[in-house]
Amino acid sequence: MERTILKSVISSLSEYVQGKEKSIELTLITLFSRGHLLIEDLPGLGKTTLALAVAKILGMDFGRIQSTSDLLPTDITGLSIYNKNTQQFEFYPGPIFNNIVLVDEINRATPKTQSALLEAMAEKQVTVEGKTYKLPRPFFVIATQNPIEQYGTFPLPESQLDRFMMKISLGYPSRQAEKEIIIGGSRREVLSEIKPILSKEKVVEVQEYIKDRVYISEKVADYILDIVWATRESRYLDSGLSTRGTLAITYTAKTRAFFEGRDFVIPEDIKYLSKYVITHRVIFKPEYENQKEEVIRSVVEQVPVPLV
Amino acid sequence: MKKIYSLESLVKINTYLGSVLIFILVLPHTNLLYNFSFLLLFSLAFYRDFFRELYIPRIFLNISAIILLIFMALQINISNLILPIIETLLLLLSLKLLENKKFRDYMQVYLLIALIFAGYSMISISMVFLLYLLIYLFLLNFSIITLTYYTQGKNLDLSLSQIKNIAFKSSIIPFLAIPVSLLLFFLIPRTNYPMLNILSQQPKGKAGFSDEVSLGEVSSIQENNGVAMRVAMENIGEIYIRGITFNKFDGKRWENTVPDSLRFKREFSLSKKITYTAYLEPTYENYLFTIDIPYRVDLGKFNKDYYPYLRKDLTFTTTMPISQRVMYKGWSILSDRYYEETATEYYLLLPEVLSESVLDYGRKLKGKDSYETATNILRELYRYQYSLSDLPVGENQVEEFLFKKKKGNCEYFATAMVIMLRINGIPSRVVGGYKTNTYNDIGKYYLVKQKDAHLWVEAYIDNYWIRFDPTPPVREEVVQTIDRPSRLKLFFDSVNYYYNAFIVNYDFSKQMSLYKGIKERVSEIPKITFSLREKVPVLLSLLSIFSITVLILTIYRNLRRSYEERILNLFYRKLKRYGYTREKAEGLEEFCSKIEEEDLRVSCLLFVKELEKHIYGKEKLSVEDFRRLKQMLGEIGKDEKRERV
Repeated sequence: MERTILKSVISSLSEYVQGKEKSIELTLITLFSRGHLLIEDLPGLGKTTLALAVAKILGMDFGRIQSTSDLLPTDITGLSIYNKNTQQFEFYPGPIFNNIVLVDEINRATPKTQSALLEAMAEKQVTVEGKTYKLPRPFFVIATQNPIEQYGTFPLPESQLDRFMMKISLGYPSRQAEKEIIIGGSRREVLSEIKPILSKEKVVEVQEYIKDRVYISEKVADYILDIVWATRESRYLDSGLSTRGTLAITYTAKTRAFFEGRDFVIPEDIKYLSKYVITHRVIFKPEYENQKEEVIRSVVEQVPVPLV
Repeated sequence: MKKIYSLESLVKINTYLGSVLIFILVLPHTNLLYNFSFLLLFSLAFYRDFFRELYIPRIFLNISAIILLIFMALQINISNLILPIIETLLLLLSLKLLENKKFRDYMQVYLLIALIFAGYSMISISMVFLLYLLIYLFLLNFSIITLTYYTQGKNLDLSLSQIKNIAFKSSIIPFLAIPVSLLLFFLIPRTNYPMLNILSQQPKGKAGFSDEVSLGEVSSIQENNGVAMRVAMENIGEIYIRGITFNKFDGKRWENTVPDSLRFKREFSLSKKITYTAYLEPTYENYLFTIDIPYRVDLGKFNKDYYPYLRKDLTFTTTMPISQRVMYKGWSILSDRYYEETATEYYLLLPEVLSESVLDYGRKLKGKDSYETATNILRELYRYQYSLSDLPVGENQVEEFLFKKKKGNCEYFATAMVIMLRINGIPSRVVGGYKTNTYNDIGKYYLVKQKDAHLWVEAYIDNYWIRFDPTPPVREEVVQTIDRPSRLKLFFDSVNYYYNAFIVNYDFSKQMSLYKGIKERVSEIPKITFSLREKVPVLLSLLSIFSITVLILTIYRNLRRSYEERILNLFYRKLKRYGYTREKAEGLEEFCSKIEEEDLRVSCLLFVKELEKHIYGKEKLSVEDFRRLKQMLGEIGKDEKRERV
C-alpha cells in the first residue's frame, strides 16, 4: 500500500535535494519511527532544504527556530499574552507547534532552552503557565549542530543526545550534484511548488502500522540484544547502549523493514542503521574518539547473524 | 567463462587423495577390521566434506582416539611392532579427517600420512614404495603449499592455469630432493652393513669356513672378531653350531669327499627339541649354520634364492652362496648323538703319509670297545696344551703336534683324534662350526663371533654318530679372553640385533612370515600378554559397535535438523561452488550482494528474500515451502550452465 508511495516520496524528494537519497531515507525512517533527528554538519549543506522538502511532500506544517544564546524557552513553546478586549490571557503557540520543526544550531541555545526543547520532544506536549498543550501529531524535530565551531556554544550532553533517534551528517554533495546546482540554481524556490503526496493523517496511520504490524522474531530480538550487550561489554567504550537505545534500534529497524517492503525485520536492517543509531548514544574511551564509526562497525561485525 | 576452482576444495581433494593412496598401500597388511573401520569413517568424512555438513560430536572423536591408543599399547610387542602402529595411525587419520579441519589439522593429516608411509617402508620391500615415494613427495609438497595459500584467504579462487603454475613451481623442491631421497631409499633402511660396527673394531683375519680347511687355518679365523651370526633362543649354556663336516685328510688339508649318492637311514628321538631363529651374516659360502643336532631348517618359502638343502652328513647348504644377511628358523635336538645306518668307507680314510710312531701311538690307546678307545684318546689329548700361537708347522704337522710342540688349537686336536680313531678302525669325521656360551640377556640371543670358530669330532659307534670334543676345556677361557664383550658392547649389539631383526629387511619372506606368523608367535609371548591378546577380538568388536552406534546417532541427529537448516546448507554449498562463503556476522542479503556475477546475484537475492520470510518472518517453513525453495535453488545458475554448454 503506502510502500509504493514511500518509494515515490523518496524519489521525488531526491529531485529537490540533489544527491541526498540516503539522508532522505534516514530522515524518513526517523520520522516514521516517531523519533527526532540530529544532523551534525557545516552550515549551507542543505539541511533546511531537506527539512522543508520533507514537510512539504508529506503535507505537514513546518516551523523553524534559529538558536542563539539569548533564546528563551518561551521563544520556542510560545507564551500567554493578556488580551485587553477579552480581559484574559491568550496563548500564542510558539514555533514548536508545527509538525516538522527545524532547530538550527541547537548547541548555540542555553542549556535551559535546550532542555525545554528536549522535554517537549520527549513528552510531545508543552506546559506553559500551568497549562498543558498537546503538540500536533505527527511531531518531528530536526535539530542541527555545527561540529566545528565550539566558541560560545553549549554542546549537548550525552544524556540529551540519547533523545535523538538518529544522528546523521549530510556531507558535501557529489560533484555532479553540485554542478547541477550551479547550472540550475538552488531549488529552494521550487520547493513551494511541491505537491504533497501524503497527509498528516496518513503519516500517523503509517507510523501506527509500522509500530504494530512489522514483526520482530525472537531471533532478531536476540540479535539486537547481542549487539546491545556487545556495546556494553566492548573494550572500546566507556558505556554502551541504554534501553532507550535498544528501543531506538528496534523502531528504526522496523521502519526500514517496512521501507524495504517487508513486514518482518532482518538483521541487515539493524546493521544498516547501526552507524546512525548507535554512535551518538555510547561514550567512547578517549583514545578511540577519533574512530567512532569504525569502532561501532567492528563491534556490530563481531556479532553473528542468527539463522536457525 | 573462465573455469574457477575454489582453493578450499583443492586442499580437501589433496588431503583425501593422499589418505586414500596410503590406505590402498597398507591395505594388504592391515587387519580387516581396521580396514573396514577406516573405510567407514573415511566415507563419512568424505560425505561430510563434499556433500553435506554433518554434526559430529567432538567428544566421540577424542574418546575413540584415546581408546585406539590404549588398544595399540596392548597389542604392541617386539615381534609385532610396526603393524599395530600403522593400523592405529590409519584410524587416527580417518578420525582426523572427520574433524572440522583448520591449518593445524591438515598438517596433522599430512604428518599421519607420512608416518604411516614410513611405517610401511618397514614392513615391505615392494618396489611400489619407490613409486609412492615419488607420488608423495610431489603430492604432499603441493598440498602443503596450497594449504598455505588457503590460510591466507579461505575464499580464494584459482584458475586452472594458476593451479598448474603452483604445481609446477612447488614440484621443483621435491625434484631437487629426489636424488637425496633415492640415496636414502637404497642405502639406509636396507643396508646390510651393520650400522653400529663403529663401536666394535673392524673385522680382520679370515672370515668363516670354506670347503677345505688346512691345519692352522681355524686360528686365523679366530683372530677375526667380527660377528658370525646371532641365534635367538633361550639360554641353554654352551652350544655347538654345526656348519660343515670333513672326511678326508691328506696330511695338510681337510676336505669332504662323501658323494651325494650315499644311502642312509636316520632316526631322531625328538625328546629334547628346541627351535631357534638365526641371523647369519653373509659368508659367501653355501653353508647354513645350525644348532647341533639339526633336523629341520626353514628359510621361508618366499625366498627362492636360498632354498635349504640337507646333505648326507647332516649339514645344511643353500643353492646359492649367502651374499647377504639371512634369517632362518631352525629345529634341533639337544643331544650329542644321533642314529644313522650308513656306509662307513669314506670315514676310515687315512692320510697316505703316516709315520709308524703315530700308528703306534694310536694303537696303544685301544680299549675294550670302540667307546672306550674314544674316551682313551680323549683323555690322552686333554694332556696337551691349548694354544692359538706358535702352532706346529712343517711337512708332517700331526707328528709335530703329537710329539714335539705338544700344543695347538682345535683343528690339531680334532685331526689327531680322527686319525687315531681311524687307526683303531672306528669311522669318524671332523665337524666345523662354532662353539660359544656368550648369551645376550638383553636381546635373548647367542652372539656368535668368528673367534668362536671350532672343530670337533664325530665318531660312528654302534650306528650312532657321537660327538667328541678333544680340545681341552681351557679353550673356553682362552677364546673368551680374546675379545670379551663388555656389558656395554652387549647392549650395543642388542641394538644392532633389533635393528637387523625388525628394521632391515632381510627379504620379503621375513615380512610375510612376520605377518603370517603372528598367531604362531602368540605362544612365545608370556602369559599376561597372552590373556590380553585373547581379548583383542572382543575389544575390537566393542570398538566397532561403539563407532557404529555413534554413527547412527549422528546420522539420525542430522536428519532431524529443521528444514531451514537444511535448505540453508544446500544454499551455502551451492554458493561455495562459485567461491562464496558467508561470514558469521553476515546477513543473507548482505552475503548475496557480495556476488559479482549479476545474474547469480539477482537470482540469489530472490531466493534469499523468499527464505527470509520463513527465517525471520512469522511463517514457519513447511515441507511444501522446503520443496519449493529447493527447486528455486536448483534453478540458480542453470542458465549459465546451459550457456557454457
